[in-house]
Amino acid sequence: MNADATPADGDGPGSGIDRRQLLRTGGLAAGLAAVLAACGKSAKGEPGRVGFAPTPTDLAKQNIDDGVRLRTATSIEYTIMDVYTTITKSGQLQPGDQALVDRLVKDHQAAADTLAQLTTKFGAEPYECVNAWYMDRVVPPIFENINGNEAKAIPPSDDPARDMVATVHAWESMDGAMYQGMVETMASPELRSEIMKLGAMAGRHAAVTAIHATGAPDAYFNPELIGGEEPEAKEGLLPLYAIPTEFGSLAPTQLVIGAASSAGTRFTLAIDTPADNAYAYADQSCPAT
Amino acid sequence: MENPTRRRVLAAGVTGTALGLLGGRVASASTDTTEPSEGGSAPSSAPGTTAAPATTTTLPPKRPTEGDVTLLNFAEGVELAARDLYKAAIDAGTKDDLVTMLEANHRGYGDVLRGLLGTESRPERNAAYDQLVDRFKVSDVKALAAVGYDLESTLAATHVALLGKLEGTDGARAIASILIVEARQAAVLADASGKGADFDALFNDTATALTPPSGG
Repeated sequence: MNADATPADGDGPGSGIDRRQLLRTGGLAAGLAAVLAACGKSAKGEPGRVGFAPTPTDLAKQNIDDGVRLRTATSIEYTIMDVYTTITKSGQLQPGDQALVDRLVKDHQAAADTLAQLTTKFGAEPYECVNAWYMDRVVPPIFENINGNEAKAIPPSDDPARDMVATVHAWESMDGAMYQGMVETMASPELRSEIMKLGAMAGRHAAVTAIHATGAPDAYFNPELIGGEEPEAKEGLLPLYAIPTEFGSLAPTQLVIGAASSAGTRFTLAIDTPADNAYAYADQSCPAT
Repeated sequence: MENPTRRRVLAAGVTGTALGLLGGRVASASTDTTEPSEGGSAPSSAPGTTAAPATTTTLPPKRPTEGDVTLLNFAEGVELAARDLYKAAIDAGTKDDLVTMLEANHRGYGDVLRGLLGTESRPERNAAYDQLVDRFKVSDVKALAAVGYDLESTLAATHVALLGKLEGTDGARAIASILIVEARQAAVLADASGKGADFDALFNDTATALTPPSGG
């Protein structure tokens, strides 16, 4: 067969499509459709790759369930106890404040034990150690700004005992907010009730710590709750209240500590409740000690 | 020469069509098996990646269920009782911003629960008011703080118990946000009543919860 023998379009008898053309066109069309269908589906939404970068490996998909939340809460209780141990070892608290911290440590150990039991009861493995994310990112700057850090040009606080009580207040407030926030994510009503026993305890801890820090009766409640004006921050420090808001707040807890700058400001840290990056997932285990 | 070519074309066409259809089925199946995220908090997989085996999770309802409505009405009634008890103290001559704040807070809690219930709200002050009102008719703040401490501890215990029964997360969230402040209020009233050095009184809630009506 050569090109000369092939009739031009529309020239030959039957003008149009012979059997061979029909088969060829039909086969190609079907094959092309198959290729397009396969490529079109699998590539949907995926940007093209350019160059020789290694193919990224997706992280394992994690399930956030009641067990993970209980494990995370346990890790926060251990983190708080670790912070309070550091504070106690400093020996700088007033006797009344130290007695308070000693009691708080006992309450947090009891809370951690309760959480571990609940974790087991609800089919997960307890996570009875500190939370690595908080220990790496939240705790160090607190003590750097209380004790100072020459390498980072951070001066020591003008009142370490005051800052340590503020630190205790911040952790207790965050602890209570964590439990409150977990309520609407917990699938089990029984668990919601159990964790809010701990949340209420943390709320009481925060209230009493605020009274220790600010003094009664000024510390009892935020004057804004009855239409008054919140007193201005003195020397760059936030006033701490036992009842700061009408409803429990889930906002990050503001901790203001450290030496005042030349502008009168101090180091401020927002301590947030645990999120995805701080959860103690089911496949995590406590580091070997 | 002609027959083998035709056969190849036919075979290729049929095979290609079958593969195309299979590809479409595979793509559809992967979409259908995407793991449901829980409350939007679970990390989502990148497009085109293979999802892990789906986890079956039964999410709790958001809005109050029929049983929740009864429980939340009970909670609203309890808050109205607390509001009126502090109002009775104010009317009896207690002049202190702390009491004003407590009355205002409980008024706000009742309002929030009424808003949550909407047209299903049946505001009815809890009978605890009648049982306690005489103890609240005092003009001495320290004396009031002692009975207020008992009241706030009872309210906190009551809300903890309610959380164990509420199914919908909207109601549970509202109760939790009230409960945690009432616990703080109890600690403040313990301090104001002269128990500031008694850690057990400050931190332990040994009160008995009020009992909701049956059906909740």
